[in-house]
Amino acid sequence: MLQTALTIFLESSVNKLLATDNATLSALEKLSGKVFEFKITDAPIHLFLLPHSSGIELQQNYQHPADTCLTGSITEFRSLITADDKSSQLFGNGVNISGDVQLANKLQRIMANALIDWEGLIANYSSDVIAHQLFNFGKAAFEQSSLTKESLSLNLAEYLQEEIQTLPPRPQIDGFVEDIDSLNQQVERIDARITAIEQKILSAIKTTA
Amino acid sequence: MSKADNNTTDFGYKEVPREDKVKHVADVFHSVAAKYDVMNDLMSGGIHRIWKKLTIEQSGARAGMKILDIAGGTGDLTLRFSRIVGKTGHVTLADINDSMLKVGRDKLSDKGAVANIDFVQANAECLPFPDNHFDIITIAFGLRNVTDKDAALRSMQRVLKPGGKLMVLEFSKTNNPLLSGVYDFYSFNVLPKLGQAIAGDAESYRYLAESIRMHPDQETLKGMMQAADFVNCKFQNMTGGVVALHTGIKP
Ligand SMILES: C[S@@+](CC[C@H](N)C(=O)[O-])C[C@H]1O[C@@H](n2cnc3c(N)ncnc32)[C@H](O)[C@@H]1O
Repeated sequence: MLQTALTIFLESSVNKLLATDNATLSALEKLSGKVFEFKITDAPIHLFLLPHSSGIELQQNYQHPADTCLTGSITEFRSLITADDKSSQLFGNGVNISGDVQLANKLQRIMANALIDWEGLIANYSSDVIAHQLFNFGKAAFEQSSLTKESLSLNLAEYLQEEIQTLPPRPQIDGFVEDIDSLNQQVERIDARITAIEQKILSAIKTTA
Repeated sequence: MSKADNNTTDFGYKEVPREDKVKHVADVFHSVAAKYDVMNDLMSGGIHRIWKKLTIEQSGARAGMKILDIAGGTGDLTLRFSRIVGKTGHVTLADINDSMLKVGRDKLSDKGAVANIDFVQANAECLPFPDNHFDIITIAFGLRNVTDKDAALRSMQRVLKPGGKLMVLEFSKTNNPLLSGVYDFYSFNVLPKLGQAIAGDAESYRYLAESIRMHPDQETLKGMMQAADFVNCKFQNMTGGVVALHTGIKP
């Protein structure tokens, strides 16, 4: 669920940034119906990208084979998108492509020409903060299946998406995650107190019964 | 579901004559239509977007498909589906309520998505579409408002293509006692107040909370889908069972 929140967040950030970029939108529209799969080898990121006339749809699951699959590390993806020579054939520099290579090149050109700071987006999305801290936090919350915490973290991710209309800068995310951590601890303390109170009530009931 | 007799049905916690439920439900959604999206975000803390996204991801939707989003309301699922099926596909947003349809149509045209979408006013119990027509049918947070749920499931079965998939996203029963307590308090105390403050309408939101409690639980709904001739019926709990996604295939 947390990963899904982040995916929605990334998707809506990109779409908001593209909203005024008509050239990119019409190029994406031409690729409508195609499906791109991104597998990041060194982070828990596996996404399907579906272009359409208002931007992109991002999914963590897609139940059919993609047209093109791109596999590589964060650094490899980052270097291909931020290379100075935007016109060079960037895919193939470490990033492995299977399926329709032509399509991959088209997408790469669109991304390179888009008025978007991909590096910033990717850094934010895949940084230790989000990919590890939040992920681990989500995992811990999930393992203890403490739904209060789970929904809390989701609310926060949603807050990020909804309230801060563009992607917040890194320091903001750092502070945010610290907030989540301390909230997390507070919730844990409250949890523990509720359990203690419950036990008191239970034993009181038992002794009076 | 315990019905007092065959002539009445539940409207939230009240028993009303069967033929009146449609009107009562209509009043609720006429009343909430304008503030529906804002309330959805507030009520669920935005989590409804995640439930819907997970539904889309598991739908198997792809370019070229024909999809029906029944009780589609303001069109959250329709919008994503229309982007996925593209020019070669088609999405039909059907809803019984013209106020909700209007809000949906305006919202989707603002987002530049209407080319491959049809808006149809229809009752889920008797869908005005040909047999074996759709690849996927979704009904999100809609089934609990339908008077004759069995008729609605049969009607969806009829218009679905063989091999096609029905997805029912709906509030359900959580089996976590701590969560249930919080959830009850929230639904019956916080929610109507939110409804009053934002939409000026506590009653409608009290109905929403009550109708959620009256809705069949996971196993019961699964049984109803099987009875309506769906196979491979499954459900997946989300957020501890606050919401469940049921799926079934038309054989
Ligand atoms: C809570 S809204 C859900 C809207 C949308 N699917 C969503 O998830 O945001 C429920 C919708 O069900 C519609 N509805 C109620 N009874 C119906 C029926 N019998 N047939 C079709 N739609 C119905 C209402 O008009 C309303 O728009």
